[in-house]
Formats: sequence, structure tokens, C-alpha cells
Amino acid sequence: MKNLKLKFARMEKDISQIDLAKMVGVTRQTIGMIESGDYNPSLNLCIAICKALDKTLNDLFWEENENEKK
Amino acid sequence: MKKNNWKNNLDEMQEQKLLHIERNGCWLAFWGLLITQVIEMILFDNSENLFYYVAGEWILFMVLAIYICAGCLKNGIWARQYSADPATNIKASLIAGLVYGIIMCILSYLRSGKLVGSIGGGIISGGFVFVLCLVTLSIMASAYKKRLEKLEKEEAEEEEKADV
Repeated sequence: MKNLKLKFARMEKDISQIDLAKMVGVTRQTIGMIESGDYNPSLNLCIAICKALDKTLNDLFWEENENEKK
Repeated sequence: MKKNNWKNNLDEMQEQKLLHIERNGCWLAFWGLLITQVIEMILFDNSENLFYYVAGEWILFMVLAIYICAGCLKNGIWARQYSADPATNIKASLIAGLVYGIIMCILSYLRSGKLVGSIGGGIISGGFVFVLCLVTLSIMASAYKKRLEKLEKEEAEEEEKADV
């Protein structure tokens, strides 16, 4: 499942995948795979990404399911 | 600036990919070595130097097998899909015995040309492998359960200490 929240948050800040990758100390490929939903990052990496984008874990990585919406 | 040769240049995703590649490589080597030994046994069956042909592969295969078994046992791991119960051990031993019995039967037939004798030899050697595998697996399963129990206890005790 694609992580569009991360992609939009990154675009909001006008940061490229390469820049974000450098900020959190990973490769661009890793950021790309997180955004496309092909890789589940560790909690440490999630926190680093959130800090880099000034967002919380809930903002970027929490997915509400149907039951919770009700 | 001095370059640190031991620094890990991979990020966590690349590390996972590399581990996956290494895992596949490990099992490729494991089964490749086993198949190579079987082929060598068939090809050089009549040779007096059969032991020398197979020795290198056999040593490497055993080192790999012992390393995997010891590593899993130490960490309280048995298998992904299979549980350490007698029924599974019997099934695995039966497969091992059957495969070995068939190979020995073929080898024996190629050597002597006597079908009945070869089948008998295959059954005996296959049965021997079945018993050997079953005993080994049972001992390993018992050791695994003990180790797992110990690890669980250790973790529970550490947690209790941390709570105090």
C-alpha cells in the first residue's frame, strides 16, 4: 500500500527524495520504496523521517481502518 | 581522513536485501553441495578414491549443517513452517530414508545388476537412515525445547528485575 502521506509531506516541504534520504541517512531507493509501500521501515527510521519533515508518527504512518473511523 | 573499513555502508533496507541474498546463497550452497555429493557418488561409484572425491564437499556440507543447527539451537529456533513434534520428525525421517533408500537401490543395481538384491539393500540402508534421522531429530527437538524454555525463563526474570 502506497504511503501517500509521506510523499505529500515531503512535497509540502519541497524536499526531494534524495534530500530526505540524506537527512535521515539512508539511500534514495529506500525512501522511494517506503513511499511506494514496498518496504516497511524500522521505528527508528520512521522517527527520523518524522523529525526531518516536522510531522508526528500518526501524521505519516498511522492508517485508520474502517472500524476506527466509525 | 582515515577511512573506516568496518563501517557499514548499507542502510536498513539494503541490509535486509543483503541478508535475503545471503540467505538464498546459503541454501543454494547447502543443497548444491548435497546434490554434488550424490552425483559424485553415482559417477565415481566404482572408484577406489570415492572418499577423496567427496571428502571436500562433505566436510563443507557438514560444517554448514552444524553451524545452522547450532545457531538455531542457541537462539531457540526450530523452523519456519514445521514444529518440533514427533509426527513431523517421523515424516521428515521417512522422506530422508526414502530418498536415501532409492539412491542406494539405484547405485546397487547399476553396480550388480541384481534387482531384488538392490531393492533389499535400498530398504535396509533407507531404514537405517530413517532410524538415524529420527533419533537425531528427536534429540535435537528435545534440546530445542529445553533451550527455548531456558530463554523464556531468562527473559521473564530480566523483565521482573527491571520492574523492581
